[in-house]
Amino acid sequence: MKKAGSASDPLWFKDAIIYELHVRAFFDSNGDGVGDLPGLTQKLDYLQDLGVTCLWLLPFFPSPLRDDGYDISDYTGVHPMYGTMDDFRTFLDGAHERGLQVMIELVMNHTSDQHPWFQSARQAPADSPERDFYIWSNSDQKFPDARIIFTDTEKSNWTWDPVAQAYYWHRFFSHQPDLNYDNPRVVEEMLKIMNFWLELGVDALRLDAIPYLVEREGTVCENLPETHALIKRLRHEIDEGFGGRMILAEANQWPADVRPYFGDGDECHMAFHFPLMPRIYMALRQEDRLAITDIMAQTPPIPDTCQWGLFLRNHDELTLEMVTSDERDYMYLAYSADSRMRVNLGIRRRLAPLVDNNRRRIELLNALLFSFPGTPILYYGDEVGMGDNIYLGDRNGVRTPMQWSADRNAGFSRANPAKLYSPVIMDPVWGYEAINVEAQQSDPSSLLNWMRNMIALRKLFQVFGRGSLEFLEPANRKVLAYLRRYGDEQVLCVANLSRFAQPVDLDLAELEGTTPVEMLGYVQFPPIERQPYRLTLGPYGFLWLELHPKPESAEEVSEATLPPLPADNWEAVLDGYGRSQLETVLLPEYLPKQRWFGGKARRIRAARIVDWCELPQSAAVLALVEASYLSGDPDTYLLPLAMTFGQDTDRLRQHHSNSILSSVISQQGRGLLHDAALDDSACTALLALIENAAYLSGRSGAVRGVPGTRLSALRGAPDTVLPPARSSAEQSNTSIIYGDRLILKLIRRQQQGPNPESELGKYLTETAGFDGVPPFAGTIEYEWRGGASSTLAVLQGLVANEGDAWTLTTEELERYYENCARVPLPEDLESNAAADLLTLSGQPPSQSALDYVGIALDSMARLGKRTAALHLALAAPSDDPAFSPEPLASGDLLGLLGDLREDAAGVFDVLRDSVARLPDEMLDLAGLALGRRRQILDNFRFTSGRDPQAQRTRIHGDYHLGQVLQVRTDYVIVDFEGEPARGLEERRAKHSPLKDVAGMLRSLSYAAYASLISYTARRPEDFEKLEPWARLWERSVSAEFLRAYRDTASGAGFLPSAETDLRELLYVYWLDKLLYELSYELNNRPEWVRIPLMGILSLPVQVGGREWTSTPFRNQR
Amino acid sequence: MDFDAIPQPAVEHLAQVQGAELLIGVLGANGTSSAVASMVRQALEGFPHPPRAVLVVDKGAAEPRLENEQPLAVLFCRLSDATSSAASPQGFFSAYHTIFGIGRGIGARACTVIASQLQTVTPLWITQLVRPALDMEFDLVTPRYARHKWEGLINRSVLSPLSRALYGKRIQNPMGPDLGLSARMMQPLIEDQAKARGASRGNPLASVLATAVRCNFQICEAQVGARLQPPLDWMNLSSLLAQILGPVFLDVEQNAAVWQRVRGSHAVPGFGPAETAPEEGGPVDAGRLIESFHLGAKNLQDVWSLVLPPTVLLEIRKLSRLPLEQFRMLDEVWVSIVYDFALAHRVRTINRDHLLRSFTPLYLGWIASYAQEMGSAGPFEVEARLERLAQAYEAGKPYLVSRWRWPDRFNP
Repeated sequence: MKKAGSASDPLWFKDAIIYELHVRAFFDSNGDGVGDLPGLTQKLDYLQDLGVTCLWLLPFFPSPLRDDGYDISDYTGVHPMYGTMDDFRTFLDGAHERGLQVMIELVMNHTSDQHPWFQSARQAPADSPERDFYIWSNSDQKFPDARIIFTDTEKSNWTWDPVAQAYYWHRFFSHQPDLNYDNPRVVEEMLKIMNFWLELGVDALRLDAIPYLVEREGTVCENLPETHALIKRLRHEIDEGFGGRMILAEANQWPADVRPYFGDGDECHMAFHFPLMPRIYMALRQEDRLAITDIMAQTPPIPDTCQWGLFLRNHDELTLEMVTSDERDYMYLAYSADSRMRVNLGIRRRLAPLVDNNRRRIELLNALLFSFPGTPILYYGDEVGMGDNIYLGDRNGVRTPMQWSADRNAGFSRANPAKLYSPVIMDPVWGYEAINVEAQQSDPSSLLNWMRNMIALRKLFQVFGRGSLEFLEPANRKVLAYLRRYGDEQVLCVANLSRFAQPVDLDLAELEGTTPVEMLGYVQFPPIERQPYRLTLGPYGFLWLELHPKPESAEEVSEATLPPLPADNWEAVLDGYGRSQLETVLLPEYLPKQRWFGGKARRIRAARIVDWCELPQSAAVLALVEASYLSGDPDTYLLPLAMTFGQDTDRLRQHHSNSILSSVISQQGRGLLHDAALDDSACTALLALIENAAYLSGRSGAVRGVPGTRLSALRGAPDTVLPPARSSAEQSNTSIIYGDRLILKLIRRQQQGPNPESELGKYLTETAGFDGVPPFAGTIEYEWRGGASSTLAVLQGLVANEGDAWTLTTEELERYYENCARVPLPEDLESNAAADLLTLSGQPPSQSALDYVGIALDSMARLGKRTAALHLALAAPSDDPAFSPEPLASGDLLGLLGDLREDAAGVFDVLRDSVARLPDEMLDLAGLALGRRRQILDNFRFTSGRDPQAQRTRIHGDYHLGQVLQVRTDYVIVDFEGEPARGLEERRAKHSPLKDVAGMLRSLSYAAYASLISYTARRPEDFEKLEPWARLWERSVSAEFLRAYRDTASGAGFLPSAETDLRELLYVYWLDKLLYELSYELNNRPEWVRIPLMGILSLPVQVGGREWTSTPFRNQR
Repeated sequence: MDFDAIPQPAVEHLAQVQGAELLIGVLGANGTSSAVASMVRQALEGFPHPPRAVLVVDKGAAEPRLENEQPLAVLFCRLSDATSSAASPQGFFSAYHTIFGIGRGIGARACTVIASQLQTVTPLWITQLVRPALDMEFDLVTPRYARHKWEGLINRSVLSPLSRALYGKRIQNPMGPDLGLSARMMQPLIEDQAKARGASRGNPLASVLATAVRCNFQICEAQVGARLQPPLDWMNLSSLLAQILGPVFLDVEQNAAVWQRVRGSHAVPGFGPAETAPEEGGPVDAGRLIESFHLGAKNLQDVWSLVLPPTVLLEIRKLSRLPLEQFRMLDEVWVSIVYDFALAHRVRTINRDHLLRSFTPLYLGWIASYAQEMGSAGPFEVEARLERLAQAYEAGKPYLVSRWRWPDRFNP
């Protein structure tokens, strides 16, 4: 019965570790002095434990044993010395049970002269079918171009047979006549033999000496086309009848000549790479990688389904056929000082003696073997560093009994030592008492344990067996470095071929950002950057470095990695079975990726869809989602959702992948669930909701559109089409622009109560008549069950503008630094820096300011004026308690200081917890800032203790350059929502308008330094040189802003009447804003943390009773 | 059809069932089989479009019998060589394979195995475990049980956090025992079992998550409510631990190439509403557990010295000197113990059975520590505590990888 092979993967041989052994030499189970199959079976556990995956058995067939079994007299039997066919079956089953594959020899080229085929042939008449099994001639002059391979023993490839009265052809020993593959019967017989072993379940066949199968006059009788045709026939027979098997070509040729033995993947699965082996030894001895890189450069690519077989040593001599004569001479001199070490064209020595038993060299050579592209083949005994016996004839010196223990006969056999097929090695260095398996098994630091670990490690990574190879070319040629890649596996191998430590710089720029992890100890190395990557290796040291991608590219759960949600209708998505998938995975993954999500610093535990309703005349819904965290209160967010099917999904994936929540499947096919702000019909439906004052019932609340009094005028004729477009400036909210008329702001974070954006906009537009804000046009409100409401969206008239003041200011600063970089610092700069801002604002601008800051001074004066006008409008008397000004009492101030101090302490806590995540260059700044915590917190105080004689009013609350649009020569103030991270009540609270003033002053400072950082990004050394210019700009425009503000608001009730009180109040708000910025940047833009940290570090420090550094407001305190 | 493990008459019965989409296997249902059939019918009514289903009820030694109705065909038969699936672990395990084989044989699109004691199983269990596989392209559906803080401690202390660290999936019960599977998930499980030989042929539940991750399959959890936990046999705890951890450690060994590539962890989608945890039993007597730990520390020192590194041994020594009320095992120590035992199992430092049995006092030490810490804790505190433990497993994974790759005993 035909038995299956043991491997399920047809390419198993690419990941294999092959172990070559003689049955005769491995273990003797019956005490006759010769290793046998039952003995080998007993040692299967050892081989499994070693980790090898495929056992290659040298010939074990009946044979006169004149060439170590390669002279076969019966192809389908087992030599009685080694056991029986049943013993072989038992061995095979045992190997397969342990997951081991088995490879045996198919010696096709020749038989023994004792084979019945040859005996019949020599006795049969000439031209008879029997005679035709071999190649005969009346002359020994045929095929004169064919070289003699065994030069030490053979003088000709022809030998006279006195019985046949003819010469017979043999490429090897004269007792090994070559078969005649021009005779179809020979081919048929050999196929039968092959099928016999494959049907038994043998996994692989090594095709011995296949270049020589066919002979033709006028050729060297090697690698002939007829030979390849024959191999193709064998392979076809295997593919047709047997799955998961492999044939390995033994063709001791140059790589380019071996390449045809792979065919187009239709000849041999594997072939030995003979020329590499001597070159590895040559590179090691010469301490120069050239020998290796040179031969690998000559190695042609092979089909994907094929593999090279690599080895350091095998049962034959270290062959030097595939080297130049100079190289051969070098190798003889380097590795065979004693002439008895040489045989034929090679060196008959084992691995350990070749490298003078140097453990580091042995490890290095094995590390190369295991990491080069191919399947490594180990020779039995080399895993313990066995020696050889050069006093034995032929290649028998490397075929001595396996050294199992220090017992008699090396634990190989219980026979009388004289009965052993070969003497065991007994000298003091290599003898079995010094080197044996048992001793090394109990020695944790033994070569055997090292080999076992390396084999196990290699087996974890398919890249070694299947990956591509790319050599690096560091200047130091004593170092061999190469990259192996396979799928997402990337490994960098670096080896020092020298006996001394070596440095090396590797150009790994293309791998920038990846992190090398040393594979043996899983030790993380510094990440790779654009600069050369420097390593130092000890003598004969090597490194295998697994290259891990950047952490953010680690596997993420996303719409692409999860099944689609069933989505025949919105109920199915949001109330149906898929809702759990949204709530447990998709939303918790989606929310933190959104710019508008404010809880990035916290870890989401779960998300819950609180309510939802469909938007009429669209394929969208408005949903409220509650995010709960591992700690702290939950947040609720507005999430308008739409589904898109068909070709539009490609556009969404390409341009808006971050806004996609999930893939969906419905009767329309596959589609995407995404943010509805990307859907035009949804945007239009939102506008209609307000225009129509519509009311939509949700599952637990309701949505209501509320038009403002000026909506009709702002919108224009009702039949005017206002095409929606998304604003690119998305921050904590999302804006939709309708034509050139209206803008709808979706309020993402939902809090119950009036939203300041709609409340202030409506008040300033409809009550105060202030024209410095976008006109209010309506809102969308959500009515919670229980009566409370929250604002989902605010509609305003669209203000045509030149851009926001932040963008315009930073653009101007770019030009400013460009100009200043070329001129020397003005002399009056230091005197300018000595005064504080309030003092400066009472003086005309300095000459330097006028000369260099120029037009920005006028702009900031206009902004100061506009700001004061806003504050005056908000401070107007009102019957509405939400807007009526209130006195600012000293008690209010104490409460304010207490709150601000508490907030400040919290920000320092966040800074402390975030230090580990900060970029390296900011660690020092963060450490210094934390060191000043106590001093900074002490600054929240008022010295006078009296009522400041000022008012609290509604204010902007989050006032900075980004909240101001330039409209021709004036400004319009936008975004009254307040600081998004603060609670609604806090954002609606009345404050001194100086809080807005402080906010704008910080923003001017931000603009100056952010632009400076950006300007000097390519030349960081210029930062220090230009920093005084940044200070000049900041202080000049800030003073001008303050001057204009104070001039316009002069006499207003909200400003403290005493200069000292005004100064102190402004400073406290300034400091509070600074710490808020720090908190915001830590949560959202760690790379910007530098700016508020620099602000903190510019605060005064008491050192030795003297105050160091200056701030805008402290000099006169 | 592929019904190797079930009697021929049962095979003939199954051949009569046409077009089945769903296979439901119920293990250990002897004596309650008609109630099971009724429950499954109820479960099918909960589907928007009830699938054609086959229910296989493990019916002890009775002759196979088929009730072939729409939409449910019920086959009562013996599922394994063991007289009852619940009688022996091997019988239990082979019953799973038989069900997978039947699933493949009848061409089912999905399959669920119910192995918990049936007193607490409801129709919802079946619906929840099956629908993600049948309707939503998930391949493996693991159960999430409502449980109080003293239930499932082997799972809480080892199986769940270990599988999370190794395979990157945050799953409450990676080893079921109740499961839902897609047809494509059954395929590699059947193939793996066919390939497994000798000792490695074992508990299919130990490798089900690794198989899903290896094949890049979709995994989710289903809330199924409270599960009646079999009472813990404290006298045979060592055998139980060996029975559970042996296959788990074997799975760790066989899938090393898979888990060593996984970094970090992610939640998996969860289906169904969370249910309230059942009433707790009485307080845990930590004193007796600590006594057992002390006894182990005294008698097993030599064995542990072969397995654990000196820093951990030192921590254990310190722990054994602490007064009862201060007895706390640090997460890092516990994680290192589990990882070192997994490694020792792989490298066969000592006989594997002896190794696993020597784990028992350490495990009791962990329970004692947990019991003292969580004595008065509410569900959220327990959840937070176990999250910290799971994070410690993840943080310790590089240690496991490094020791796995270079299992030198000369380490800190």
